[in-house]
Amino acid sequence: MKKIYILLIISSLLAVFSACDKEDNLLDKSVIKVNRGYFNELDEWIYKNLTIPYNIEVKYKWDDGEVINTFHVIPPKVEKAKEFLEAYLTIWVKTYEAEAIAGGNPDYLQQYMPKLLILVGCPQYNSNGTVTLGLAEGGRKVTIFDIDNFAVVKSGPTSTAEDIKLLKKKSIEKSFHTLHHEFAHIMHQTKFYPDEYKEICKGSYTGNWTDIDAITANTRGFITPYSMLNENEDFVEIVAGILTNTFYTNTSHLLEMPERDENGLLTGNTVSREVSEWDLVLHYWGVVFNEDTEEYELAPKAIEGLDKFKKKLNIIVPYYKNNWNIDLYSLQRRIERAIDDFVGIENS
Amino acid sequence: MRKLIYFLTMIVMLSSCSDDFEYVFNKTVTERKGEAKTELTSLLTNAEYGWKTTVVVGERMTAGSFYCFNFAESGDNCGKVDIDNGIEKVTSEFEVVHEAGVLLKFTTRNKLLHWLIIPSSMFVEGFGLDQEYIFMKEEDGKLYFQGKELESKLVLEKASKEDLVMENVKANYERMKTIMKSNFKVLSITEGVVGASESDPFYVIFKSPTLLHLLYPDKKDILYRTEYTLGDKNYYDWDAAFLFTPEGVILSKPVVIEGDTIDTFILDDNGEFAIANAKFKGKIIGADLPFFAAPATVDTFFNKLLVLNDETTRGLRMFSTNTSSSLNVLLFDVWENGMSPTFDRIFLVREYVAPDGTVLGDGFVFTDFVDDTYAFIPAEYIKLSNSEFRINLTGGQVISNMEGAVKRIENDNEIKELLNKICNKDGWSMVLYEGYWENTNLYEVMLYNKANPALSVTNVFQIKD
Repeated sequence: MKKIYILLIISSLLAVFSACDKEDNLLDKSVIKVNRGYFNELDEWIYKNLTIPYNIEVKYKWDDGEVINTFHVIPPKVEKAKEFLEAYLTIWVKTYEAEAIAGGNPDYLQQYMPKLLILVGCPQYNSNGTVTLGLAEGGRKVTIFDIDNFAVVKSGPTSTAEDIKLLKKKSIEKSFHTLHHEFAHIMHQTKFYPDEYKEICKGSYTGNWTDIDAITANTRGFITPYSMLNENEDFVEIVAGILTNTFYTNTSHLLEMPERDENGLLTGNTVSREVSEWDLVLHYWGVVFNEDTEEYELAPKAIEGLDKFKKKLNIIVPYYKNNWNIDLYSLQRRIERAIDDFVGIENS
Repeated sequence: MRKLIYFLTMIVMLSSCSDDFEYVFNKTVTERKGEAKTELTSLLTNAEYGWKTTVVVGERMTAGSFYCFNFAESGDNCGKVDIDNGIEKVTSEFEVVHEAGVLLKFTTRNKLLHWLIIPSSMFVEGFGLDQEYIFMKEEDGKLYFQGKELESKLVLEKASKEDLVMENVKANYERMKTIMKSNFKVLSITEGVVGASESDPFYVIFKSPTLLHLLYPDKKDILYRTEYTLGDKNYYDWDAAFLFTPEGVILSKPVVIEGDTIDTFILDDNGEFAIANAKFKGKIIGADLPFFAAPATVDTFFNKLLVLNDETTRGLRMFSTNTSSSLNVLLFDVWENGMSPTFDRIFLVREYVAPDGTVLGDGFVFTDFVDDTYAFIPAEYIKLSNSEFRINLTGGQVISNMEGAVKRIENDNEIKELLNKICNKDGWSMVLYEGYWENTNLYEVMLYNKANPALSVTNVFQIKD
C-alpha cells in the first residue's frame, strides 16, 4: 500500500510539473496589430524629412498619453504644425548638423537629439499664473507648446513688408529657445560641465525665481530669472540665450546706446557702436531706463553680476568646443542665416 | 482519513493550473479589443447619412453647437470625419482605440469642435467639451459617449437625408445675426409671465457679452447675455452663445423666470424666432429704437445729468462707444477739418455756468483741449414723453472765451451739419439704466436719433452720494 502512495505522489508531482506546459501552436502571423493610423500629407512629410533621416518621431495629433493629464491642452492647427516643423528642420536640425560636421563630429546630432517631438497647440496654463512653453523628459522627448502662435506677429497699420519680416524673424528666433534649452540639458547630462561653474553663483540659486525680475537676476549674474532655479537651468539658459539672440551676428549693426567706461560704469553720454544682438545683451546688463529722469542708470551690483556671468560664459563656450566640437558663436551665425532664409530676408 | 487527505491534495494539485478561464470568451484579449474597436468603427462609418448631435457645454459661461458627423474609415479603426454645423464644414481625423473601454478620439485640430475645447488663461478648460470619448452604450439607435477628461456628454443620433440639408441652419444664423446687430434686441414674452400680454410684453434684454467676445472674437456674432427685471429685482446672467439648428435657435444659457425655463425657439410662419417651451408665448425681436421706457427717464436726464457742471463734468459728452457710430464720424469731421480754434469735445448742457461764473443757461458747449475754454450755443430741451425729447436751437448769441470760436461756429459747415442732425424735428429716444456701486450712483445713458438710429450716444455718469 505504501508503494502505491509513493507512486501516486510521484505521478501527481509529474502532473503538477507538466500542468502549466501549454503547447499551443504559435500563429505564423503576429496577433498584435500595429495601428499605423491615418497618414495625411504632413505625416508623409514628417516620415520623409525627419523620421527616415534623423530617426525623429513627431506627434502633433491628439494623444493624451503624451501630455500631463492635469492640464487641459489641445493639438495644434495642422498648418501651424507644418510651418513649425519646416522651421525646426531648417533652423534647428540643419544648423546643429552643419556645425557638428564642420567641427568634425558628424554623428553628434543623430546621437543626442531628442527622438520624440510632441507639438501642442496652446500653452500649458499653470496654477501659479505662469505658462509652460516647453518640457523635456530624459533627453528623449521634448514637448513644444503654443504651436498655434508660432511666427505669429502683430504688425501696425504702417508696417512695411520688411518690418513684418523682421518681426517674424524675432518671433521665430524666440520660438526655438525651448529646443536650445532642452538640448543643452542633454549635453550637460551626458558630459558634466566643470565643478568650478557651480561655485560662481553659489548661494544665489532659489526656487522663488518667479518673484525676481530680470534686472535683479542680471545683478546676481543670471541671464534670466529662471536661470536662478539651479545650476543646470542656469547653464542651459545661457546656451539658449546665446542661440536665441542671433540678430546681426553675421553683419554688425550700428546702434546708439548709453556709453560705458572701461570699468563698465555709465558715463552719461550716448555712443554709436556696431554691435550684434548678443553684444547688446551684455552691454545692457543691469542697465535700467529711469522714466522720471529719462536717463539710463546702472542697477546696484550690475558690474559684479556681469563679471560673474562672463566667468560662466568662459566655462560654457570652451565646454561645448572641447566636448562636442560645437562653436556656439559659429552656431549663432548659422542660426541667424537660417532664420533669414526662412522668412525671406536677404542674408546678412 | 490520511488517504482522503492525500487524495484531495492530488485533486487540487492536478486541477490547480487549469487555464479554462482563458477560454471563457473563446478569444484572446487582443482579439476582443480589436473586435470592440471594429464594432464601434463600423457603427460610426456605416450610418448612411452620418450622425447628428447637439451639444451644450460650460458652467458659468456656456456655448454649444449642432453638428452632423460623417465618418469614413481609412486605416485600422481610424480615418477622416467631416463635421458640418450648417454654417461651416471642416474635416478632422478620428481614431477608435481601446483603453479603459472603447474610445472615440478626434485626433486633429478642427475649428468646429475645438473652439469649445481650447483653453485660455482665464478659461483653462475652455467651455468643457472633450476631444476623446468613452463609448458607453448603443440604445434606440443612438450612440452614447462620455468625455474622458471632462465628462461632457455626446449623444449621436442617426442623421436622415433631410438633416443634411443645412441651409436652414445657416439662414437661422444669418437671421439672428441681423437681430443682434440692432441697437435693441429682446425676448418679448406675451404669455407665461404675470402681467405680460400682447399690448404690454415682458422683456428679457439681450445685451453684448462682457468677456467672451474678447476670448472668441470670431464668434462675437453669436454671443449674448441676458438681463431682465421682475418686480424690484434685476436678474443678470453670464455670457453665452446661441446654437443654431435646422428648426431654429437654442440658448446655451437658458432664461429662467420664476423657475421656468426658456431655451428653445423655432422659426414661425412670420419668419420670427418664437418660444417653443411650454407655458410661454413670445419671440426674439430687434429694433434700432428702444421698445421700452423707464419711468421718469427724461426728467432724470434733464434735471440731474445735464445740469452737472464742475471741473471734470459738463452735462453729457456727445460720443458713442460704438466706433462706427455716425455721430463719431461727424465729431471727427468737426475736430479734424483744419479750422481754428480746435473743438475736441461737445456737450449737451442745462443751466450752464461759464468758468468766469456767468450763468448762460441751456445749450451746447464746445471746448478745446484746455479745460476752462468754452463756446456756448443756446438751445432749448423739450420733453416729448418719458423717453423722448427734442433739442431746438434758439438762435441766441454764441458766447465764447476762445479767440475765433464764434466766427468758426457761424461759418463751419461741419458744425452746422452736426447741429442740424442733433436738433432735427424727430428728436431722440433714450434709455437710462441706473445702478449703484460703492457710494456712487451710476447712470448709463443711450440716446438714439429717431430719424437715424445709427446716430447714437452712449455715456456713463458716476455721481457720488
